[in-house]
Amino acid sequence: MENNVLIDVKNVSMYFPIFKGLIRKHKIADIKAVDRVDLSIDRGETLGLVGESGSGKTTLGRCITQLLTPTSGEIFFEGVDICKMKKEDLRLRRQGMQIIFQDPFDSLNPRMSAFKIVTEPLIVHTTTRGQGLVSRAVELFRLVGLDPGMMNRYPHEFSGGQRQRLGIARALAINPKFIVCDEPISALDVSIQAQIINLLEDLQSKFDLTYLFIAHDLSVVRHISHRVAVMYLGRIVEVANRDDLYKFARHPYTVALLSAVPIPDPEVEATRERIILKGDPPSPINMPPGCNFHKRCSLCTDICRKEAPRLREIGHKHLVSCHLA
Amino acid sequence: MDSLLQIKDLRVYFHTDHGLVKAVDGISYELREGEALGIVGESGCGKSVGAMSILRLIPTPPGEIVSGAIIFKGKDILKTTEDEIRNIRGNSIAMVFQEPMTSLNPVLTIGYQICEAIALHQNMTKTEARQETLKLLKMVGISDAERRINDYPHQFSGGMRQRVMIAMALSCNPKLIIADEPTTAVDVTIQAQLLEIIKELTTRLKTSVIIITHNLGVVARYVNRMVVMYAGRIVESGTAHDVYSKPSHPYTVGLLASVPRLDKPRDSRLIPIDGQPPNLANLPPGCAFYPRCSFRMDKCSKERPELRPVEVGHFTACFADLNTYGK
Repeated sequence: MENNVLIDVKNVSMYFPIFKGLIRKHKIADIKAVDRVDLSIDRGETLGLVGESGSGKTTLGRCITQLLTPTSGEIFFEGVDICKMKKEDLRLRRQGMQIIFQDPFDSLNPRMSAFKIVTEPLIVHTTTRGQGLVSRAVELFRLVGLDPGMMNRYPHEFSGGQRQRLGIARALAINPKFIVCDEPISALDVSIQAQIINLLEDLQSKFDLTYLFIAHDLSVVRHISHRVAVMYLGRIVEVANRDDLYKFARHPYTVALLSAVPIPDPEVEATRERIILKGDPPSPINMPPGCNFHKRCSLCTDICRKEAPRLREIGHKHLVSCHLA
Repeated sequence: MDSLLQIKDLRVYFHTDHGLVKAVDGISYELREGEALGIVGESGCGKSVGAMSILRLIPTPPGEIVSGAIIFKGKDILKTTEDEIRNIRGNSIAMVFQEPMTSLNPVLTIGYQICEAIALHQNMTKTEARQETLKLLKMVGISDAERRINDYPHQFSGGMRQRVMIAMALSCNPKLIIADEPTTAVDVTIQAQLLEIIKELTTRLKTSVIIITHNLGVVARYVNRMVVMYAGRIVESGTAHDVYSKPSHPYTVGLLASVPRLDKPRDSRLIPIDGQPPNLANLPPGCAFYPRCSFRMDKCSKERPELRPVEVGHFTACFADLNTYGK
């Protein structure tokens, strides 16, 4: 059987050191943004990654694209560990992976025309020049639903949704296999979000793309993903196929997250039970011992306070990190 | 129930380099005592400007309240003196803003900031005000309030700061709280906490509340009535039940159809609203939604539809009768 795994993340941690002292600077602690994460993504699959802000989902996305080098662990892209690669090899390998950022206002250089933004990856990675660039840019503009006549405009002349389309065109320019979509729609107006989701889905089937879709909106993630991973304070707490996760969530955090999602219907809301989580997520600087969710968990028992649960399989491709599941 | 707030044909214009922007262009609505009203619309539709006008917080220039009346407890706010409006702000009408970090003063403790409002409006001594502050912090669910009262805003998380804002808003027992996107900057789990707190406290204290949001889902659980805005005008209003179950404006229909719902089976495709949000400085002559509308007729490009009743208490600004389309 051919190996279908495109991305394989093994035991990856990303710690950010905190320093104290002006003259004698010394490390006092680590922020464990990503803590011993295992995750794999199959070819052609969309893996949804959800979690609250500060749960480490963006950091994980950036580790996978090597925008950050993880503190420890291995990341295999098409079977090769990209963490230990030389710079030049990595640059070549990186053509296969791109990222779409959350904020289409900050992620486009205001001094570059739309044409320059979209063709920059081609100049960096390929030998295409001159007329070739123009025809490729026209092609990319059409692909993402922008009028090629707007090619010489600057980012501020585009609306939010159009800017996000530009970001997508840029990511597609060098035919990547894998795209990290880091909250691509959360900065957009509600009426535009569905347009971008549909566009991402069309592009996926057209080019057989693999997505890591990072978001905090669980209803959108259900719509677009094949599999979903839930992160809490740097750790994966539950991974499952989409329908399994939404129907049979086993981790108390996932259950609470699902129940907090608002439903636009007063009738449904009137009868729906909600689990309101108490308090805020603890600081990742000094994490409680045991399960890192125990302080907010309603089912917490003695073992949860002492021992951190491991991610284990409880059903077909359904992994949970909870003592009680 | 008596009417607490009445807004009549309010128009707020901004003079910009790109021309006259009619941010709010003739909106009217009413809020009764103890009622929760949701104002929904996307960025730039005038929902925040409309709400800021209630407290006369529109920066002038470039903004200008051109015409209209805002009747609060029988008195037109637009005709009050600067002293009178100062007395209303925070005292009878309080506001919770979207971004709690920028609306709290970073160099003052949160205790001081809440006490300030109480001392200013309620003639209390320092000790009394502090007691009152502690009570408020506990009410909004801040644990260990005795210690946290001396903390600075940066020591709080986003959700906690927003709770401090709610405590501050409640501090003078206002008749009305305006919450402008109170949960946009926080996570889903915290969002649920905050809205529960607002709902619970306003019901208990019989405060009226206006919740402004771009997310139709957020308010479904918490409001009695809804106003949907588009390009500075109200396009639909009615009870929450009517607006969600029988949406009568193509924009509302489109908004409801374009978001995936967790309680429904997953659809293979989302149905987006085509096109881009309108440019307020350059609106089409007829209905502002015309270029994006799937029910449009020739008439819509020439004539602007006024709000008309579809049933008792349910209004739409659309010529088409959507219910005959089998919607």
